[in-house]
Amino acid sequence: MILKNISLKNFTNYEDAYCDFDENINIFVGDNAQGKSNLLESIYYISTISSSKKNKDRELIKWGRDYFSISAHFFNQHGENKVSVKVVGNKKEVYLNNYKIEKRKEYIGYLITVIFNPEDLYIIKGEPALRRQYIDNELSKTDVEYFVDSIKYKKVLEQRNILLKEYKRKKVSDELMDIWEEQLSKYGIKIINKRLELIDQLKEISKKIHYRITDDAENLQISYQTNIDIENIEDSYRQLMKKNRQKDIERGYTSVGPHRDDLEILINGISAKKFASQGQQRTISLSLKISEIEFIKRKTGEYPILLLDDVLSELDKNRKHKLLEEIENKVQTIITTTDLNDIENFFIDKGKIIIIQDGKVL
Amino acid sequence: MIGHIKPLINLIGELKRLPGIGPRSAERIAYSILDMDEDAVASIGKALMDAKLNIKRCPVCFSITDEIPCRICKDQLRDKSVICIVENAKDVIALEKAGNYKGFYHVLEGSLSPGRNIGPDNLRIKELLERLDKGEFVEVIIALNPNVEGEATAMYLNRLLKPFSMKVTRIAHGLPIGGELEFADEMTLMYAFEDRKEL
Repeated sequence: MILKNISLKNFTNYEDAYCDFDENINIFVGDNAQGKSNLLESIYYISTISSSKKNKDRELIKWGRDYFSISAHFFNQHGENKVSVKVVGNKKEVYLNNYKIEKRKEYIGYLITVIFNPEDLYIIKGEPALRRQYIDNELSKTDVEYFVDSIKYKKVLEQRNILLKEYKRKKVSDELMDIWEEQLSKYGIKIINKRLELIDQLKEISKKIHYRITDDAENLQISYQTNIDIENIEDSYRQLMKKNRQKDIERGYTSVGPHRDDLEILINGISAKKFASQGQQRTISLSLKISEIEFIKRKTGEYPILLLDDVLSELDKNRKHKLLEEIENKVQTIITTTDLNDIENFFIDKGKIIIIQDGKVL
Repeated sequence: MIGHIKPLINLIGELKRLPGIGPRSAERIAYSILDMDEDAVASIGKALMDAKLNIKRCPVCFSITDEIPCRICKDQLRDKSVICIVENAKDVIALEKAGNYKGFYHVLEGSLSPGRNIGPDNLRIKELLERLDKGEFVEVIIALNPNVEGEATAMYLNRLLKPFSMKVTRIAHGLPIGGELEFADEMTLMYAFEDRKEL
């Protein structure tokens, strides 16, 4: 996929901006708080119709204005497309090639971006929720069914949790518990199966990439962690939920299911979360992001657009070289930096430099 | 200043109770009411009260009606072998507009939702079972919404209906008529495939 250009009106600190992109490497340069990350965020926004930082839409409107709009031209395997979004107060209108998009799921897969920022270190270091989010993000970008099922799963989970609390106060019929558990396991099983399929592919991809990036020094192994027996998922899931019902009632939440699972990351056989150095963890997060790109390529037939938010300064020269080798002439990449010195010359030689100053693209 | 005009503040406050009416719309409607003739305003007021006083729940099917029992439940020409279960009276009206269904209805007045504190006892399920016990129905058609609450309710009903040994069906999910295949979203297409039938 290639992003050709983007225009913004009243988006964050931009009043009116337009930017053309090179199909290889683009570098946004500017001091802090000039709008580099906001411009990158607008690209992410137009690809998912939502913020990467979970900001509310209205928070993205320029101070003192009552709407923002973003429009972009891009190429994918189906040809040239135009997408535009306008947010006025709580209302959002999205058009793809002049057809109105009613639901977000109709737009999934048209323009895919992968964003890599310094906080991605926490995929390795942080809580399980962040690793689940990494998995969910990856699947939701390419799989409409997964996207819809995970929304439904969350709704049913909420309902069961409320029922658990109610059970404690007054008797709820076991039949009713059965029904909600049946619904929960229906969506939960679909979600876990899709995640297993993903991890199955991703573990091979990421192992290879990580060997390349570390010059064969580190063996990266990832695996899906769940207390459900995945060989016999249909029965095991339901039995486990039934078995835990009493415990769940006491605690007031559901202890089994994809919302409790985790991704185990091992480096040379030991836990990367506990034992890897900060530098190693950073490299693993790089490998996982490049793996995400490769997975999307396998699944959709084309590379997504890579957004690197302030991460190059965190990588050493060798890692930067490796990253470039992985993306060169394949993946359109957009980089932000405060200092061109942080970016090796080989990036600069191949890239288009775009200067950002005070909410303007110069 | 608007803050001092009590009747206007009152009117805006009342209008805001309506679904889909926020402060802005309430204000706009209030000002346009002020601009109307007295007769027109009186007739809006009368229509509101008339509807409220004369429209009741049918004690048989729990749809809305101005006669008791409702015209559908009274109709001797309808097919006594089928009953269709829906969430709201609005759904009955929608299905009646479609016009091809000639059986009876049963309105649950909602769907199961622990989050909104709606359990089986808050729905017209007991009344449904009584009807099925007494009636001559041989088929129950479940026409609930395809969201998680509707699905859970359908599953619950399906279990309850097992002992009646009736045919239990649900309406199909699928492509909108007049829609081109290429414009349908993937989920709709998937459901349409699952619900395909022989020609």
